[in-house]
Amino acid sequence: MHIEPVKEKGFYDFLGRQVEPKGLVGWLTTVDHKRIGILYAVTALLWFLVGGIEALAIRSQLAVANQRLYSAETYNQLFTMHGTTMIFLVVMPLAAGFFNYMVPLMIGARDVAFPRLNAFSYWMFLFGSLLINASWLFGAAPNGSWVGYPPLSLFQYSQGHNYDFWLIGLQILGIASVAASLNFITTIINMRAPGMTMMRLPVFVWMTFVTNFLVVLAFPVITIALAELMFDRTYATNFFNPMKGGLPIWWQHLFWVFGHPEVYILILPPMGIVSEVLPVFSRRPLFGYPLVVGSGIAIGFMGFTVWAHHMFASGMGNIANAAFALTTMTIAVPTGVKIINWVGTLWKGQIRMRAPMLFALGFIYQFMMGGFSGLMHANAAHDAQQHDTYFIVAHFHYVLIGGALFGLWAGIYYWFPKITGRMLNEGRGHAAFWFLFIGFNTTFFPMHWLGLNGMPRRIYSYSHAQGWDDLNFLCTCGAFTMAVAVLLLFTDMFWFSLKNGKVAGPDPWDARTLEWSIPSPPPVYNFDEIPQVKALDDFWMTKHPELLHHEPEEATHAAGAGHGEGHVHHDDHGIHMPGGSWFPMFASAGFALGGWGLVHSGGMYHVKESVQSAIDAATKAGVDWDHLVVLAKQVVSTKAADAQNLLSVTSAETVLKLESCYTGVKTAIVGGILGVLGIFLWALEPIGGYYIHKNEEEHAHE
Amino acid sequence: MSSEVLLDNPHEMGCTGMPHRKILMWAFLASDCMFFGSLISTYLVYRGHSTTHPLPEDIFDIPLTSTSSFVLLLSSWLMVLALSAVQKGKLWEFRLWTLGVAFFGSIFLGFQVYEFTHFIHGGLTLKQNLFGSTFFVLTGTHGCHVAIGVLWLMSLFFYSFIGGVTKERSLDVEIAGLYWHFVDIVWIVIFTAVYLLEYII
Amino acid sequence: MQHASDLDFEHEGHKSGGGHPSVLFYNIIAISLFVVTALEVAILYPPLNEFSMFLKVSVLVALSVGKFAIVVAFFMHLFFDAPLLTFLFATGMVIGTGTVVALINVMPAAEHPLQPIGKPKVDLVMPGEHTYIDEWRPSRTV
Repeated sequence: MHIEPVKEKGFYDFLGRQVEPKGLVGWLTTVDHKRIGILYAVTALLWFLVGGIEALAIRSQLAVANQRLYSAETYNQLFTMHGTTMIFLVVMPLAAGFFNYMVPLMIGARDVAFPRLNAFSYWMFLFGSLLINASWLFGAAPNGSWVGYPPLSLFQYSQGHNYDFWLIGLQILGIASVAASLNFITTIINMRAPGMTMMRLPVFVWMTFVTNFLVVLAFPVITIALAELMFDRTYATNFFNPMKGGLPIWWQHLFWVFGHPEVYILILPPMGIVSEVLPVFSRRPLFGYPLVVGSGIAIGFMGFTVWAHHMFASGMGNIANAAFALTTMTIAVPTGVKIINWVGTLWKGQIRMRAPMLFALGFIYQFMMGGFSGLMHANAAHDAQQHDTYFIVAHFHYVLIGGALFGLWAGIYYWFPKITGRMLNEGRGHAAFWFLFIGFNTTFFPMHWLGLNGMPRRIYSYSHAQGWDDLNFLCTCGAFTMAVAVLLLFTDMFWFSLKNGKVAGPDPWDARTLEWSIPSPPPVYNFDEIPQVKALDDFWMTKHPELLHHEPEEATHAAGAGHGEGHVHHDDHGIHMPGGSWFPMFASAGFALGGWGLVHSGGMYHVKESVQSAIDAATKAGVDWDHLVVLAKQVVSTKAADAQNLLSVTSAETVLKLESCYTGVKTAIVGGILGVLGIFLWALEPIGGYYIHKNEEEHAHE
Repeated sequence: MSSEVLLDNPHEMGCTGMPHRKILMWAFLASDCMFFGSLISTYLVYRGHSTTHPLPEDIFDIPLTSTSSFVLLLSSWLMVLALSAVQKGKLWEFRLWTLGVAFFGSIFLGFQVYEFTHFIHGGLTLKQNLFGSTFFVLTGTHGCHVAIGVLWLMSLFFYSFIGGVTKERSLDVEIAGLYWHFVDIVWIVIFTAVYLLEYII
Repeated sequence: MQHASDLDFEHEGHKSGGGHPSVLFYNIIAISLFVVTALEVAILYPPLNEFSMFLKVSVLVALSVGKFAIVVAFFMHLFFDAPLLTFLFATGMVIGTGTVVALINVMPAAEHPLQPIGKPKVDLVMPGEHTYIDEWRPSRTV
């Protein structure tokens, strides 16, 4: 095999994009979906540790009554960041890591439709996650829960930059997600191998597809909501300002129009993973494939009709409550259909209780439990009691950990061999499962009782008189048990098995889908030859050709996909691979810098208003802005009013705050320009890359 | 042959027979529908909720805004002609029409700036009341979209002089055209829902 | 390398999607759009009363939807392109329109809306009540 670079010229040649990038530069400029998938997953797993520590801190505080390990202020930051981290920085990117790595392999493609856009999504995610967590360094981590309701989030009640970090961080993460989803929609529609019709797609690809639509349609709504909140905080608009007629409930509506599809974004990919794992480990095809796919689509669509069930206690009125209660109960139906189909897959199968299977089975049971408590919330009358209590906390952790996380861990155990070429240790995997299963249920099942007994959410402590002590202590024990499981998984993944795990080979699980037909780890170009797909579970059909004769669809009339040619065309130039590119990272860095500036400009107009009289007095005295700032610094350091008596210590501090807002605006402009410059250079970048030629003998073996 | 496509290639072609970027742009426009939908619903929900003046009927100038709507429609027409020209390989015609689109887009922006200044002098600022907040954010966002479009078209205009725009690469112009037309249809909705409906409901 | 015809999307569009309208067709569409816009503005001028309000709103909405559809179908070429693209755009439009309509209906209407300057000031407006002496305007508490 030899490499033939594409000749470049001028500026882009200088950047050295054309050849296979290696080392650190290789990782920074990568556009390879497999590397980007690994980057996403590793980053997500690191944030998982951070979010997990935040959770352990919360549980430590709540283990006994009247604890003061953390102040109320710190506690608020802990639970806000725990929620935001787990949702946006762990579950979504970990799923994105699997999309990135597996979807092109499963559809028989060499990469995604827009490799550089893919890289851009990752870098935006990384910078957004760093921005939002940088707030810890300022002692100003977001502290208003992951839902950020006004009026608390308005400047009047939250004058630090906590919410500004939250707003801008989420905007950046939102751009990353939308870009990635647009990319994958195009990829799944347009880059399937010949013969891979939509109804032959693996269920994981289908669920990814539906999830991408949800992202693309839901994130714009929160973008606007966050922008309106930012404008209220920084430019004194009135979107949520009750003094000028604004309605805080408008935020709730906009947020949950996004927020509800968001939770389906979180759960559909793990459902897809479970739909892959169950057939492989019961040696049976998925029961009712069209129904599972159809249910996924139905869940996706109906997910947009149920949002106000998060607002049953906000006084919308009976008609609205009834309407949303109805739609919410209806959405349980397709979910139930899926569960029936999964159980149907297991029925009379040759069950192999390997680690991925354990997690998938755990998913089914626990997601069902979460679904039951969800149905209880769907009844608006019951929700009046349950809302804002630990009953809700129990519900969503059952679906998010018991469901989404277990599903993602099943994916880790299932696909780790493909990605790294080594098996994870089976014994440690079983141990991790049992620690997680027992720990998780110990932590969250008692919360159903706590909630019904009146324990509210988001309280930093509780009194002994409530009688919640024992159950809370139990929950905390469970949490630390879960931590053991996480330790087992992480040490196995990043240390033991990575170095010394059993070598996996291409198909260690005797699986059904295309990614198992290539070596582990796959070569950079994925497939030697793009596969010709003849049926659902095509790889299984290749291994068991006798089954193919029973398939109604034969190879000759592959409908829909590709140009349906029987032969495979050998490009004389070999396989073309794109070279790396600096511009996705460069553009992201620019936008992140802009975001940083916007964070620091938070509250600008309100700050200006509060110090306007001092500025006016200064202007009258002939002191311009820059001199006023110098004066202010003097006053703050000497802690005494200035000679002309223009500034007290407090107003001097406010003047400096305003100055930092102005600096923030300038930084935002510079960052924005750099980001746009990056996009321009990216748009003008020629194809570049290199060709991979297989040697003659390798050709002969194909 | 179909899947052995060059990656990052302007000549990309997918298994549906359509180029990737066309699918990407239409999916993006679907997403933008939700984006503007949220802004428009914010405006409509807050109609009548302002606690201070000025109100729309106090300061709207329908003849002015109608003129700017005509201008934007005109630019949309020219965009179609520009795409048609480049698809036939007529580069000078393409440049003329593209310049026209950018020109009339800028005129539209000029009208917006004039209107905003006029409103601010009439006492309507971002923070004055709900009408100010919702109106300026909605039309301002639309204006930003127009500005991005003008930038994009001018980039194509200059790019055509260094051989970047050709008959074979007419997809680039088509994608820009889709974006520009979308910006136009959003204005159709805004003009009706914000300006015209104010005088009826 | 690829065949020359692969590089030519315009022709692919011809093969797969159907025709390209002529420049004359585009010009006719454009002029129709101008006429419709003029109509939309003109519809504001006839006197407004309980009956004409419903008519005006219907006509205005119909004309706007028509303009929207014509620009999307012809200027954006969606009519001639693959149904897949219509599906993609329709997803956004359907969910977007549905969400906007639902939000408008679930949010509370203004209880005491301010009246424009220059009109008689009233403290309370009951549904159906007139607030102007010299000309009819519907109350905003619909």
